[in-house]
Amino acid sequence: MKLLTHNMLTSSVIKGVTKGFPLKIVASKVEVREVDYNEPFIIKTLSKVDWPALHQAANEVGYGEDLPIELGEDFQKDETLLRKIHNALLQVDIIEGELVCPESGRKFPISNGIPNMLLSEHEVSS
Amino acid sequence: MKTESDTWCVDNMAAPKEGTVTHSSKKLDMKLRKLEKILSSKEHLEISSQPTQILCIQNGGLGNNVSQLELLSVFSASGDVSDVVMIPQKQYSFVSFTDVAGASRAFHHFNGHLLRKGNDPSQDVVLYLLFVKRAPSPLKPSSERPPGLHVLEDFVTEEDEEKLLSLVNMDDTEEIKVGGVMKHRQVKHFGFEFRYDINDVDVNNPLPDGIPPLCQNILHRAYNLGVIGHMPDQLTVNQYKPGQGIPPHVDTVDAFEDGIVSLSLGSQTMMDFRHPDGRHLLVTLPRRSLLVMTGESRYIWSHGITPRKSDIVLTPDRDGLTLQNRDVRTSFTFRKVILNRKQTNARQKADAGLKSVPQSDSEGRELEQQHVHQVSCSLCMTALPNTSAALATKPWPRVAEFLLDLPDGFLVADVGCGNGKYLGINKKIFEIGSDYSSNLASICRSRGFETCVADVTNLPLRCGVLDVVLCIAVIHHMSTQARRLRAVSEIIRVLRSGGKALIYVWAMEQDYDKTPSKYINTGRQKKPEQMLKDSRETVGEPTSSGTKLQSAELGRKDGLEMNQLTQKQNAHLRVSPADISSTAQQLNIRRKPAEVLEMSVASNDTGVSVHGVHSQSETSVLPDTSKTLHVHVNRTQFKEQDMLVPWQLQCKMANEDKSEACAENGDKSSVFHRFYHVFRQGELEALCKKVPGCEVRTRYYDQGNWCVVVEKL
Repeated sequence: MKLLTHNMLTSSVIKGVTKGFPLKIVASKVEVREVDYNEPFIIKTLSKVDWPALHQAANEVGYGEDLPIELGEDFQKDETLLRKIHNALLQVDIIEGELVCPESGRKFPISNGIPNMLLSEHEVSS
Repeated sequence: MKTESDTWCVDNMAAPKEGTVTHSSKKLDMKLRKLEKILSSKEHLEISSQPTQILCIQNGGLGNNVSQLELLSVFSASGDVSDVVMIPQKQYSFVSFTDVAGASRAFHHFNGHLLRKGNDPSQDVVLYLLFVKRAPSPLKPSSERPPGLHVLEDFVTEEDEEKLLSLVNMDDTEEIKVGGVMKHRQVKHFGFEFRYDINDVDVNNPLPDGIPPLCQNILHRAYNLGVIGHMPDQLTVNQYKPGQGIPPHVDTVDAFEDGIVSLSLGSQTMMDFRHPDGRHLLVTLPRRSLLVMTGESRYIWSHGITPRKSDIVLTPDRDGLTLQNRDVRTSFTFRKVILNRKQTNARQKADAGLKSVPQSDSEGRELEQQHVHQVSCSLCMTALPNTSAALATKPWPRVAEFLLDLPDGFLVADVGCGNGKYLGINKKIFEIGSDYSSNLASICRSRGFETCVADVTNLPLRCGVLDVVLCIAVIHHMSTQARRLRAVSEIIRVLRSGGKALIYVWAMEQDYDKTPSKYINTGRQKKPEQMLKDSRETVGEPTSSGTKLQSAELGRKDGLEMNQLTQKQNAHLRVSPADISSTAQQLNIRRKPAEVLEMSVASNDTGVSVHGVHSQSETSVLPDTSKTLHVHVNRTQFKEQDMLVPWQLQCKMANEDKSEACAENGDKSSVFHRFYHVFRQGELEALCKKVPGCEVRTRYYDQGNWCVVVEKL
């Protein structure tokens, strides 16, 4: 699971949970897989990414120390930064671990790179 | 199954003597290099160019019918083997040595080694060895347990254990046979004999010996604790020697009540519990513990024991893990026989194919669990080995065209992505696939796509985050109107304003516009490759064989709408008939034979339904409250909107364990009934219009499917 995927995931469908975002990552195995750098893609994607959630997630898995807490206005011109963001968003891959709902504490296992987000009938708000 | 790896040993089939190394070193080097490439790219194994303690043994896996014991006996000749890790369905395994020297000796001595598998030379395999950096971790016990399962530790004293074991002298029992296949364990019955030929007991023929009094005391304690709601009247004693196991099975649903209890005596073991959605939990059954299976763990999860000589167990202080050898284990399994067989419950009705159209959300969920998810899981489990790439060969052209038209950098979710055939078509967008089946999600992941396991009626995605949602052939599996509505609402919820979704559902009208769809059409053409379906998509899709014909038809049908891009894409995606027939061989999934279907069509034009009930010729959109779900006759016109579509799975049994599992499950596993709600013309748009903020932009009919592009306002 890449952090861009994580940035879209939420546990808000759990009964009683309002936002369920961002899901805390507890990773036991993380890999970095090379992905071609595509600057326009990163810039475009950043408009949809929740930055604080990405920042937090990258730090949780140990790839966030070079990322600023807030994204400055001129980030589009800073290729060094964009490459770091590229790494965090697309190259870091959580293989094993779990996602934890920030409100209910419900854990979702990540196994073989796949988060299992299934909930049982009684956990879901209808 | 013909697979890639088999082809490596084709030239070694000239029946050399056991152990012969059949290659010149140059040829062997070439083979190993090719193998290394495949194993690292397709299986993600970390091959090492330097010698390590661990060897990957290609062609020495469970998928080749090679056992852990066989490998152990071969490789012990080279050094101290510390572990042999076998992986279900894979054609490779891992042998770890205590030192690099042992592994190196094995590498040089056994590369290209012919392993004889008895008298039939076609079963022989040639082993190829590569050093790997690490083997997958051996199976550890799970802390999680299936719902309804209890393990009560130290349930009997050592004294009672001894007494119980002395009650049954297993030496005088004969190994039983199931369908001519010798089982690997010994059994004895009390109360009623469990007959493996019918998977049931004969209720009119109780055995002279009832459950022994000592057991009664133990059962009373379980009853008083409230873990079982009845006193069992049937006992089966099984004895397993180290290295023996039992294939995964669910105890016959209509023979025994809920609440099955089993004592483990003499040795611990590890029991495998598998949910149809792919979840797999390992539960340690310590010596002298009582296992209780109720509810979901008894009815939905299968249980079995993998034949091993040791188990990974928690250390006595429960801090770490340790390897514990298995000893002879005797299990006492107690069950309560259902004596009044006329009382049918919903589950039994389901087994008999007499399920009703669901009325509530939970009924709907239950039906889909059994007749959608379980089916895709079974199909996928059989289809898994080495077929994932072959599966993803047949995207519908108009869906591919839709994807290729998307601007760069779009965020897209394919909900109900199946094996991921629409993932990766447009390389400039970011896609996440989701599927309810974790097996299907794994196929997508192994092909390098972002995937999560999720339910389309409860998408785990942020509101408004996506540019596009793809939902192909998913909503027709939702069994109530409310659940179908919920699915569309979820799709709209996760889309941004102005975001679009493409939705395909199977159409009731298979001859719309006077053109019979492929689904109806192909029944009359006896091309076996046209009966091939992938593990997700069952219906209405254009078959990939005879692509010229297909393109021509589509071109005519779609007229000007079909632009050059589509044709290019279409040409690019063509698959040769040879590929397809080999895929068919690999999958062994076929529709019911065309000949049989044609007979049904010819003799009974109104369709055939189960138990002699004729289907109604017309039904309303709203389900009738008392309506029974009928089984559809493949390749005929739909008579009703809600139905079960039969799937035949010709599972070639790779080993006797599997056939035993089939025998234990009454051999029903080869035919699956999958639920479908087919949509009438206009129904999909009407459904979408009920969702606030959902605007239908385009609608069309494509090869037996109703399709819409909707936009979120």
